[in-house]
Amino acid sequence: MIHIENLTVNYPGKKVLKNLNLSIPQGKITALIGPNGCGKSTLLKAISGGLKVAEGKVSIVDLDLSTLSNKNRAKKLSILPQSPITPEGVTVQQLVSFGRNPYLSQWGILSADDNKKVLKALRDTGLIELSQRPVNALSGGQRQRVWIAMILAQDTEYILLDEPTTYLDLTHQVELMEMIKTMNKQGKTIVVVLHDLNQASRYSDELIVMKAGKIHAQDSPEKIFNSYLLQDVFDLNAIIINDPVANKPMCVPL
Amino acid sequence: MNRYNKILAISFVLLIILSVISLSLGVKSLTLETVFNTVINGGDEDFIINQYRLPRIIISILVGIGLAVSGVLTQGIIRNPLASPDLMGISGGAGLFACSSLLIWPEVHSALLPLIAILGGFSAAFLIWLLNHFNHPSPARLALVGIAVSAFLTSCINFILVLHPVEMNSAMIWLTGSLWGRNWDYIWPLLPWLIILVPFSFYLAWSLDLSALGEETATSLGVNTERLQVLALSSAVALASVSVAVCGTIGFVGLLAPHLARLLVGPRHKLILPIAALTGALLVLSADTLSRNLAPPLEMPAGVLTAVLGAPYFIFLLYRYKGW
Amino acid sequence: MTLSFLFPPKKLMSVFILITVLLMGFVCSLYGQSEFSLRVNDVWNLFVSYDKSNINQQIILSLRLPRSLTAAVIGFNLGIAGLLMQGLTRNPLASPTLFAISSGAACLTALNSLTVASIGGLSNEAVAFVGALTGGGLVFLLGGGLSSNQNALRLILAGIAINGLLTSLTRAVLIIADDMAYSLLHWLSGSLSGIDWSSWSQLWPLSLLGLFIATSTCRGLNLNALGEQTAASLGVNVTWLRIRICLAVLILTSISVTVAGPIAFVGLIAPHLARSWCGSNHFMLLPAAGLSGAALVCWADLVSRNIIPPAETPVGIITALIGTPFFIYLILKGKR
Repeated sequence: MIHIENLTVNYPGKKVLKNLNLSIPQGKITALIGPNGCGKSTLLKAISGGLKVAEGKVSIVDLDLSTLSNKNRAKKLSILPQSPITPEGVTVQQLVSFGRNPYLSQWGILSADDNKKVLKALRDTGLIELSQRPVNALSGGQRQRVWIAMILAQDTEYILLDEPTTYLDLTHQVELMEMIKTMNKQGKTIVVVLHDLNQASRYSDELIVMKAGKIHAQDSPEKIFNSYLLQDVFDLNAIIINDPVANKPMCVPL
Repeated sequence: MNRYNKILAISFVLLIILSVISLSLGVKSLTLETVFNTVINGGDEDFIINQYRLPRIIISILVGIGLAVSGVLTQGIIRNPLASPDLMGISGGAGLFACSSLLIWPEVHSALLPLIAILGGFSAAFLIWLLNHFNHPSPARLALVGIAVSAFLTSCINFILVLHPVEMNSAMIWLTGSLWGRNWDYIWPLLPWLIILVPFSFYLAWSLDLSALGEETATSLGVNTERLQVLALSSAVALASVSVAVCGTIGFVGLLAPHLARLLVGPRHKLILPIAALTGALLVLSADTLSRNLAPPLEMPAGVLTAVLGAPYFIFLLYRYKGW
Repeated sequence: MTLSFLFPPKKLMSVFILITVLLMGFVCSLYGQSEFSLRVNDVWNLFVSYDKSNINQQIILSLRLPRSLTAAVIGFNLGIAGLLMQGLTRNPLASPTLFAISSGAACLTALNSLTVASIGGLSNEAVAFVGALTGGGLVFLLGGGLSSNQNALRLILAGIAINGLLTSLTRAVLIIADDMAYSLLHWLSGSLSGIDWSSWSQLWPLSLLGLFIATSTCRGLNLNALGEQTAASLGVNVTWLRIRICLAVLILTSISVTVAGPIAFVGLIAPHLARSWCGSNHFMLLPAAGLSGAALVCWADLVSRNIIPPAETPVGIITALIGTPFFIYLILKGKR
């Protein structure tokens, strides 16, 4: 369970998040949705330690994350940023092995166990044949799989994903979300920021809706995904129907 | 033997061969046999070989390694292909302090000049660091502040030179970098820094690989980016400053060697560091050898020749590189 | 009905302020610091009621005016060239220096001073111009300018290599021929002394041409900022854009270097000044960078004549001295 107390995050000149209180349930997939600029990415970055927090604290169970060193925090929590940078010439295997960093000494030498985990991550994401190719030579869908593999290799209990499906075509989006579902089944707690509301509804157990830096609603999709919410938060006129495949609410804009 | 080991071995062998050649060439050319005998047993040519050429060769190699490693560290943190230790204001600061003292106090003892230069280099680097830290520090801003301060310092140097044209020549030579007159006395100040900092850069190599992924990802993977920046950049400044202190500002090595290494062996710092170091050593050594032998007994400062020698090879590599 | 039309948007205001600063610098340099006591009145009278027999007015007309105009246009050219370089390479540290234009001109000029007769019987300016074009041409070709394979890094690396080579050769000459070194160094720092109407007549046609080509690249540059692949997918012919940018940079910088020697730093700092005031749309940035550069050089010229009067300090030294604090202030003030 990730517990957020009184979180305040400032960007120069404005408060993006103010006195936010939030609990993210253990072992579930939580989707963070909201209109542009509502603070979803900021919240994610604040949880992962990437942003300086003005006030408040983030804790996992009872452990205050700010008391942990970078490495120890990286063993508990991993984040996939929105537009990750891939340096020239780095191969798939090298990038995935970077994920083992929190468990390595400063010299960066991987043990047999580390290598096993890297290989498992490559296998789970179907990248074994591509493992020696440079990451920059791969397609968008393949590249995103490499980053997921890196997160898998990092082997953390909590995984944060910032709009992982944005640059992918539909097939790869579905593929990615299924992979996320599998990771969740293996016991990982996942928080994912999504733009596609239907994806969020379909794949998540819990939905957190943000608006203007505050939590507007939090519950399972069945309970809160309705037309009033869409109108209120997204200014969107839509009807809600039942997704026949996943048996979850689905919105159809009018 | 895989490709990397091949490149490493070739560079190393080249360095040895070049050192031997350099020992035998000069105003008085000596046979290889004489060279070997004198190094081991002393003899008639002891002064030329053991007191004059050998220390120069060793200093060239050490300075080349120092500048190259400094360049790798700088580019690893700033992540801009135009970044070099010069960007940290070292040449500018060292040059300015050295030039000013040469002009104000022409009889300054030659042993003091390196110390003054180190002081200048560190001050400039510290100023750049301070300015960057003032408000939302980042590697990109560090580069911009660095280039601005370096340009400012270089202009100050040019300004002084324009005002005092008579003293210009000796200042110019020091500024361009030369190994003339460098003997065993100059090695001892240099060696400890290299012995400590070069292995230390290897220690940082893995983290530098990670920092290439960007601030966000690196932090997420557990890297303390701020601490890494301080460690890497201070090492870079230290290495470059002592090199500048010993032989003036030899440009281009710190910029070129990392790029050359990267073109040859890829992006991993553990692989880049040795190749860059050897490249730097080769570059400075060949520059110095050439400088002594172009028109003996006159010497062209080595700092001028590093680019003349390094650039064509680099151009050749760029032409051949298929990875665009 | 608000009065918002009285307060133009911030960007227009910035350009307006820039123009004012430029004009002030321009006018001051017309009459400032002279052995003859020129005054503002003389400038005013020159334009309003021209009197052929008035000595002061003649001085301004034949000496000061071409010089100040040249300074402004050179600054304008270099500012735009710098903007184009930074846009092409998407690297904030890039400047026309990268293109080895100044170093090419310097190198050939230095080599020329070594030989007894001029190379090819060309005048000094022609030598500089040829050197400039050669340097730029080499970087362009080596950096894959004509290839369809797009990579900004390659151009940067080529620039580093050739620039390094040419700069070192120049330094070598400076050391060998140390009796010539003083005048060479003076030229190498950029100097506006001795500019007259004939220099102006060399400057303005090519500057106009360069400006024209540069303006045509604005749209492409806006899209290039998104990355070469994105730009290509949005319909930009990246190779043709690169050729036009390099051509504009080459023309603008070569002619400026030929007339006044390499003036450092303007091409680096003017785009940053422009960006901090005018955002990232190249249609606004182009004039802003040009005006920033022009203002910088005009004021630097004024200062260069006043620091150690009556001697002149090369203007290239002053541009860095006055430009840097301003530049650093802007960087530090910036949000990221």
